[in-house]
Amino acid sequence: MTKNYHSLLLSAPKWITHLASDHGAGIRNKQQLFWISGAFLTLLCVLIAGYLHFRPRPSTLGIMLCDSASVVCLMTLSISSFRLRKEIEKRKTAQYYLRLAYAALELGNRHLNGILESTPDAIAAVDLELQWVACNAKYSTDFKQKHGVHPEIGAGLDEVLTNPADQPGQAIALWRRALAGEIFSITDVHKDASGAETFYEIRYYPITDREGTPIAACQIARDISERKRYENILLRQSDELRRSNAELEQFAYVASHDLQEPLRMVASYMQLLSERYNGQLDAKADKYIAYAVDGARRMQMLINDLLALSRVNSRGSEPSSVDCQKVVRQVLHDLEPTIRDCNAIVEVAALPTLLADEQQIAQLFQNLIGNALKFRGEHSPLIQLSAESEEGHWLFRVRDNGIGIEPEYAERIFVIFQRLHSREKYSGTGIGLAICKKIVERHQGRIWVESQPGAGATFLFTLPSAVNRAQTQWQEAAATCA
Amino acid sequence: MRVTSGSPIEILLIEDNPGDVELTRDMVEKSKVRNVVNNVSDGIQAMAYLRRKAPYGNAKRPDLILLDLNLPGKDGRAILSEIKEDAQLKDIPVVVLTSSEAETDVLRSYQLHANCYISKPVDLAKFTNIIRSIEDFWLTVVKLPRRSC
Repeated sequence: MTKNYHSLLLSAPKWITHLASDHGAGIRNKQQLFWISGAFLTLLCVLIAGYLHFRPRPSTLGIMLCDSASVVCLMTLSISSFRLRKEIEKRKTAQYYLRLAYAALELGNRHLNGILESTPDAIAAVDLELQWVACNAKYSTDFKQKHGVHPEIGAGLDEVLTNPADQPGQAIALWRRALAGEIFSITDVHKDASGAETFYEIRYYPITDREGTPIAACQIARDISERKRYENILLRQSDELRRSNAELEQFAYVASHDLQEPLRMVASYMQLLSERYNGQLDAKADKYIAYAVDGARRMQMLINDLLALSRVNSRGSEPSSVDCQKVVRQVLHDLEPTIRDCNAIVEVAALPTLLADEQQIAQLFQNLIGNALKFRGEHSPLIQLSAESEEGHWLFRVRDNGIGIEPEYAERIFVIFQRLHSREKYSGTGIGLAICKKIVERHQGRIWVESQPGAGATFLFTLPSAVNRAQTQWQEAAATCA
Repeated sequence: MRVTSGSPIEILLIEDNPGDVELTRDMVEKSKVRNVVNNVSDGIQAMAYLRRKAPYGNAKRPDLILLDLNLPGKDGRAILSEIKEDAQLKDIPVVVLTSSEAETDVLRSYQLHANCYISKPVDLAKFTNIIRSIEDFWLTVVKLPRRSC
C-alpha cells in the first residue's frame, strides 16, 4: 500500500513540488499580476467605450473603438476564465497529490512509531525549550519508574523534574549538550527498590534542520546490564589470569634460584669429593660420583630449559616488522660451522616480512634448522625453506631429508622433554620443538609435522601476515608485566 | 701491589648456606694474596658487623664484600641498599655472588649500585675459575680505597 502511495507521490509532476515550495509564491504573484492587469485593461476599455458611446454624437470611430474594446474585453475575459479553469484543475490535481502525500507521510509516521515502540531501547526527544516532542513507551515506563511521573509531550523537563533527588540540573545539562550539537554517551546505574542494579548506556544526539542547526535533541538509553555482567566476568577472569601469571613468574624465579642452589651443592661437593679424594676411592666410587655429577648437570639443564620455555611468554617483545629472509640469513650464519661439518645444503626460497617478535622468530628458525641438521640421515643433509601466502597468514615449510618421524609421534615431539631417541644417540633435553610450538602459538599460528621414517620430515607452521597481524591483538599471556 | 701491604685483605662473606661458605672460603684462602674471610649469615649480622656493633665491636672494616642475595630475614638487596646509602660504607666494593640467574635480580642489584653481579655455576671447575677471577680482579688488579681505620 505504502509502495503505491510512494510511487504515486514520486510520479507527481514537478510543479506540485514547486507549488508547495517557495517558488509557488512567485507563480502566485505572476498570476495575480495577470488578473489585475487584465481587469485594469477591461476597465479601461469599458471607460473609453462608454465615453465614446454616450457622447452627444456618437462617431463611427467611437462605435468601432467601443466594439473593439468589447471584443478585447471579451477575449481577455475568456482567456482569464480559461486560465482560471486550468488553474483550478491544477490545484485539484495538486490537492489530490497532497492528500496522497499526507497519507504516505502518515503511513511513514506509523512505521517510524512502530520501530520506536518495538525497540527495547528507551527513546525520547526534546526541543530547544526542553519540552518533550517525542518518546516511546519504554522511555515513558522507565521515566515513570525512576521519577514517579509520566513524561508528557509538550511538557517541559524542568516542570517535571522538580525533586532534587532526581538531579534535574544534571539531566538538563546533558540535554543541553546535545542541543548544542554534541554527540556523546554516558553510563548510568539505576537501583530498584530491591537494590538490583540496572546499567544503562545513554546516547545523546542533536536533531538538526537542513542547515545543520540543532532544533531538538534525542536520547537513546540501552540496558547494558547483561554486557556489564559479562564485562565483570571477563574482568574477574583477567584478574585470575594475572594472578596465575604472577605465580608462574614466581615459579620461574624459584626455578632460577632456589632449585639451582641445592643442585649446585650436590654437584660441587661431588666434584670436590672426586678431586680431593682422587685415588683414595675405588673405581666404583668414581663412577657413582660421575653419575651424580651428570645427574645434577642434567637437572640444571632441565631447569634452564623450563625457564627458557616460560620466558617465551614473559620475556617476549612487542611485535615489529621482521624480514624473515634476513633473520634466516643470520641463523644460517650462526649455524655455519655445523652446516659445514655435515656438508649440508640449505635452500631458502623467498620469505616474507611479518609483524612479529624478531628474536623469537630467529629462535624458531634456529631450532627447526638445527633439528634438521641434528637428525640427518646417511646422506648429506638437504634443507629447504619456503613460504607461501594463504588467506590471512603465511605457511612456512622447513623440509629435510633426515631420519624422519613415525607419524604416531607427530604430536608428542612438541611436548616438553619428550624424546624419541636415547641421550647417547642424540643429545639435548627435548625442549627445542616445545619452544617452537610456544613461539608459533604466541604469534597465533599453528605448527605441525608431516613425515615418514627414513623419508625426511617437513615442519610446517603458520604466522599471520603483517596486515592481518596489525588488526588482531597481540596475545600476550595477559599482563605478564603487571 | 696493595696499599695495605702487610695486613691481609679483609673479605666479608655474607652467605647463609654453610656449603657455599665452605666452598668459597676454601678457594679464596688458597689465593696468592693474603686474606681473611669473615662470614655472617644474615642481614642483621651483616649490618652489625659493618657498623661494628656487638658482638662485632672489634671487627675490621672489610676491603671487599661478597654478598648472596637470598638470605633469611633482611635479604641481600636490603643489605646492598643500606651499604650504598651509608656514607661510611658505600666505598666498599660489593660483589653480588648468588645462584640467582633472574634478570630482575641482576638489574635490581646494579640499580642498587652493586659493583658487580656474578651468578654461581653448577660446575665446580667453573666456580673455581670465577672465584679466581674475583681474587685476581678485586684483590690484585683494582686499586681499592685506602682503609680509613
